[in-house]
Amino acid sequence: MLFNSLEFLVFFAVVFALYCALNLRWQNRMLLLASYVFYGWAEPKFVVLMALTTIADYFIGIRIDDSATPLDRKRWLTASIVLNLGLLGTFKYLGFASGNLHALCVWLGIDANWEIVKLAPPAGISFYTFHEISYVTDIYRKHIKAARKFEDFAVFISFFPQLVAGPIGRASWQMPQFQHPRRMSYEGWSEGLTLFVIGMFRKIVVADPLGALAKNVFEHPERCGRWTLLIGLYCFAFQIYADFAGYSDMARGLARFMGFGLIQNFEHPYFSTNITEFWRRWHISLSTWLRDYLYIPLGGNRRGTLRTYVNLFLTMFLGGLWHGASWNYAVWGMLHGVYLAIHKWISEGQTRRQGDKETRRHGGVALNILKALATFHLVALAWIFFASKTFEQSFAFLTGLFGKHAKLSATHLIALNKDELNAAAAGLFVMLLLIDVPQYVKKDQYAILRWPFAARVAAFVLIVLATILTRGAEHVPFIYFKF
Amino acid sequence: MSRSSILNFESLEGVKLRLPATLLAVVGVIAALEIGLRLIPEKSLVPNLSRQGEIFFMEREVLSKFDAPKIVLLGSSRIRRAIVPAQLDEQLGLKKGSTINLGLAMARVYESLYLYERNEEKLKSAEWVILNVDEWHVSTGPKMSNSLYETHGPLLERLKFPDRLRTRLFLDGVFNMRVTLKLVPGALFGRTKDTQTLKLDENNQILPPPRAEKLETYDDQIAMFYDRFDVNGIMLGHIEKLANKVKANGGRFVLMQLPNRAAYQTEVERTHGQDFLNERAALEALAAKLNVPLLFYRLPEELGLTDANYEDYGHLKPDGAAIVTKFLGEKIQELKQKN
Repeated sequence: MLFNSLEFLVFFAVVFALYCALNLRWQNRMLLLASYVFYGWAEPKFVVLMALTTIADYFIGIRIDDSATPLDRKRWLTASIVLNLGLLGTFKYLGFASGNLHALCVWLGIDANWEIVKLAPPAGISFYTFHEISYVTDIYRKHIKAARKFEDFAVFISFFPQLVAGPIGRASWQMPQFQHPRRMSYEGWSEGLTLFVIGMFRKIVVADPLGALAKNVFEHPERCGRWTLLIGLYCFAFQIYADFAGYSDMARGLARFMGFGLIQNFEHPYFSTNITEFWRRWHISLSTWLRDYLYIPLGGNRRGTLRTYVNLFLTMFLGGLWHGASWNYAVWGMLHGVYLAIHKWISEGQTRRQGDKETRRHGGVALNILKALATFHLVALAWIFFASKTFEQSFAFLTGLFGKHAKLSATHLIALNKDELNAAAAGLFVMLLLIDVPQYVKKDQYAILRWPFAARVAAFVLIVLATILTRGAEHVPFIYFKF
Repeated sequence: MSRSSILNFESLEGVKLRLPATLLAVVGVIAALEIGLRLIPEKSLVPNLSRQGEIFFMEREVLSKFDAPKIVLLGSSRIRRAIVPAQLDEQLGLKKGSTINLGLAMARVYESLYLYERNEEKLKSAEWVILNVDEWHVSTGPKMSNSLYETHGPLLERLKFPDRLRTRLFLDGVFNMRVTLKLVPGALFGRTKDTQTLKLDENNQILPPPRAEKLETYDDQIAMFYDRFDVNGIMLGHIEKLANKVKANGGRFVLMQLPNRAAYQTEVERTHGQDFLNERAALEALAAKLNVPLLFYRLPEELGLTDANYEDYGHLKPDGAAIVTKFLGEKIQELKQKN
């Protein structure tokens, strides 16, 4: 069930009406039921899998909490991680692993006469698996106590606004919200509605039209001229931002409506002036998760300079693979790992030479704009691997962009539709002008709500009207639903 | 109600309701725009080459020249091109102007139904109403963009469409401006320069200028018509509604499916054989349910046509139209004799 569908509107209206009427205990039970209905809407069989891992982690959480010795705690934590990553690996990476093994055997001349197993991964498995790992790890680290009421824990795992594509919930912050009464407020509704409307605008007016253009280019990079490739790349870069930030805004808006708070997943990442800042602003719930549950346990920056770089690289490599079982995602992650390591090396060198304050003083507006542009283009370069389905496509894209371009006849050349391009560019411009820039400048995600009445109404009319009028021939699923 | 009750509205305690002025103003502006657009006469809002414009053209250029037609032909451009009204009149011994061909380019059955309903007073004199159903007419797969259904289809019926179309079609129904605003520029420019150059010829037929034969493969055409093919009850429902209206007006309703070019049909059956069989079975079941004749032809040779009689995958050249018209005349006589 997509947020931008009619059935979701009806679903949420019913859930919200019930939510308002029920007491805390029944609210959680109702939300749990609603979340399972939401999740099972398209593919009911996967509900069983989520329910089983939830039950297992609920009891494991209690066992960790109740264990007397550190060894016991560690054993139960290991059991949970093996279970969760085992399931994730089976559904998401078994086909990838067996395919690679098969290719290796063929390459080595070993008889590899077996079927490559490929299972369809359940929607959102990467997200709820990380919720569960975060929960048991936080209990292990004694940051939280294990939930004693099953429904409190189960609804944290399956909470429908964030179930399929995040933001990835952190137990230490979110669990208490399910254990204590929520209070709704007029401001909460107002902010929730604002986030939802903004998210819908990002998705329908910006992401979907840009996506249609990017798709044409990424499917046949060999048939595109250099400028078409570059425009296609920009289209994808803004599509994925608008798509995912749009989804996150909608998820947070829905939660806010009911009195919950979800982590802000995006903070205008394309305004970042370096790659480290980019990762502080892009998919924040994932980057902080990787930092806390992977980078730091690997040793973080506590084991020397070289090991820090290796840890950064490994974290981003695994972060890339988290997105999907494909070497394209792995390369995307590795590229970011290299970027981060190089930036760390450069910034540490600068700090040693000039000191922190001196470095900051050099950051004028013009220089920061140049830095932001450079960062954006580095990120965009990595998107080539993310957006391409195969290595062949990625290399054809890179060859077309930087190499000697093959001369193609006009009939073979893909030309982007100018009307569609203009419409998408107009949507992007409005998004930046009315939403991103004011939010960034004021450091306030509800900046639009503080405007004078007439300006506020005009802005919302433009946003809502554009959302209504933008023609969606059909629903386009959110990009991150496939992860 | 006590606080321990399941229903206690506890979360709402302390909520101070205020007038949501911004929300009301935004909704007000958008509602005013929608209502304003709906109040403007449709004829001044749509260009000639839109679905709605095509219907106005038919009313203006064709229907206005017929008094009380005896045979009404409905369907898409395929029947428009396939049947020559004057020839049929002559063959059946009717006076010229008894047969009216109301085939609408790229039309679904809904458009034919809408045209019939709008002009029911004139068309209820018809003894025969023949609807030619193209294969894709029964399916929701082919794009529903730029169809009359977007603005005129019943709102609640839209909820019965498959998931991928339901929300979009419902939005189109609530916010007609999603469609009409896109048509306005064409309407404004079209008023000074008439884009509809077609005219009723001396055979009471509307023919576009001859086109060069397309020799490329049929992949794109088949993809357009058979992508996500389904046999949908809503689409069949439109046929049923039209048939019932005709019958209620005392006319005889005939369902027909003209054949496509054999080379195209072979490719259709190779790639979407089961879809074609499903569509045929659905039409047979519907005809049986409605107790109406079904003239279903799979291949051109069944009507004495060859591929050379076609201009493209399924539109006939004038020599092909003469053959089909003669064939239909004979079929009508057969059906008359049966009763």
